[in-house]
Amino acid sequence: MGVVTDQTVNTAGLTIACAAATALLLGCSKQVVVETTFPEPIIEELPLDAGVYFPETLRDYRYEEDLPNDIDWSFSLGDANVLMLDRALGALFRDLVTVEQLGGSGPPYDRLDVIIHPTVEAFEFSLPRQSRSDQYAVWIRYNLAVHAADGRLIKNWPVSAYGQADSKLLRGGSAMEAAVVRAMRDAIANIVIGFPQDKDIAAALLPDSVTPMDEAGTKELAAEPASAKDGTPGEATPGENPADDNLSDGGVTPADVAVDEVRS
Amino acid sequence: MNNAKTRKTPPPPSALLCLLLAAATLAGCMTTRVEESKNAKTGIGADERIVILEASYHNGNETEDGFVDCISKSVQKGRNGLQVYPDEAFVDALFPWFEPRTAPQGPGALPKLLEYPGVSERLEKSGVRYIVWVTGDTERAASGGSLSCAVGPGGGGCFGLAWWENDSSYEAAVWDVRDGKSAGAVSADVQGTSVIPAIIIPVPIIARTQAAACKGLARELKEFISDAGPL
Repeated sequence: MGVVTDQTVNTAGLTIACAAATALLLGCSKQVVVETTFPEPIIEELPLDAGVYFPETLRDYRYEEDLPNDIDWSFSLGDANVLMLDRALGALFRDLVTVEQLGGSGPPYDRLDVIIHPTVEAFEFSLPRQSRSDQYAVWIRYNLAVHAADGRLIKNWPVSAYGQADSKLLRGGSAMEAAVVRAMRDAIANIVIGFPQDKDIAAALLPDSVTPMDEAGTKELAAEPASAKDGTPGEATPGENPADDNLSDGGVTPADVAVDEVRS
Repeated sequence: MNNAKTRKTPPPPSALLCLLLAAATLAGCMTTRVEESKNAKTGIGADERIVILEASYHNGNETEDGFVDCISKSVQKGRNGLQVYPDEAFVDALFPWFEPRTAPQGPGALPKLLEYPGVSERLEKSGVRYIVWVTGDTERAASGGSLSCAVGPGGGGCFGLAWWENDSSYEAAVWDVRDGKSAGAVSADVQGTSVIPAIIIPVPIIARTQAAACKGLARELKEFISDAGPL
């Protein structure tokens, strides 16, 4: 019987493990394609007819990241983005139609009160080994550009979303997909609860019939945990985010003036 | 015939000792503490249900998804089994009011939640009388020892001893939806030491603290809710 010392076995084992890991890592990637449905939110709809403009960057949204010493991750969120926003905005507004451009004349623009232009501003994820927990975590930051029917920008409204899933129950890609789905549900919750509470949006769209809720209402929504990597984009909820006041990208518009008048 | 003779032969004392030791230590060593704190009279009707939810991770809670499933299954079993509304179906039915970000932070928030359009109707339709919020997790408290294995052309084996200690600590807070207040809480704390001694063949002796906590918490939860007696 051959005698092999522990040290010999450990070295040999390490070499084999390294070779196997290297072989696996070369050309190996994990694809997360989010295919899901979202439940219908039970909320009171706003007395507004809205249009939603889905840009190609949102409909075909993909995110890829090559992690050092790990597999590459690839996410396809386009279809899920459209489903998620359809669900959220469909519940929020009296009527919702998809439009091909931001503002115009004639149908359907002549009957719309508002047009929403959503984009994905940031996507981030962390693996259990990075966060030293059992959780796969996902942060998504959307921006909803709120336009009047004629195309004027009323406000850029950021929506941050967070989801996590237990790696013990679901493995790898399935857990990551579950984390993405939870982040998207979080986004719906943020939109349907936070949108009517935003004082600027309410002042511009519903100056007579809706009184913006007090800020305490918004603060009932808990902020998501900070990102495991650098603390962004996990921040505050819409409506109480300091960035809300700094995101206008269209200069001063008549709507901005109107908002300022309401504020004063 | 030979087999019959073999059975009649008493086993050697060393083998008997090994068997006794293995039987005695099969599940590792565990200490379990289950407690309850009742604030209000409970009891549950034949057509009433409970729902068991994991407390929000937005507050730092990291209860394992599988633990909630375990509790849900366990409280339905046995003589005083409770009717449990599936957690995911409940959260979907009341979407988005029980998402991790939006879930009520305390029983005091229930009356306000019920004021939102459609919420009280959905809750009533579900038949849920009690909402049980589970917090806590299982953590490794300590570990040590050394275990080495070797393999050669003629065979292999292991030698040494490795051990670790797990602490499963969970609490289930019970909210009475009908009365809109807290009924109390049940907690389970299980500590256990797992050992893998190895003389050629490793013999894992695992202390399943999480399973024990699930069993203890579920048993206590059933009694807590179904016992309609005075405080």
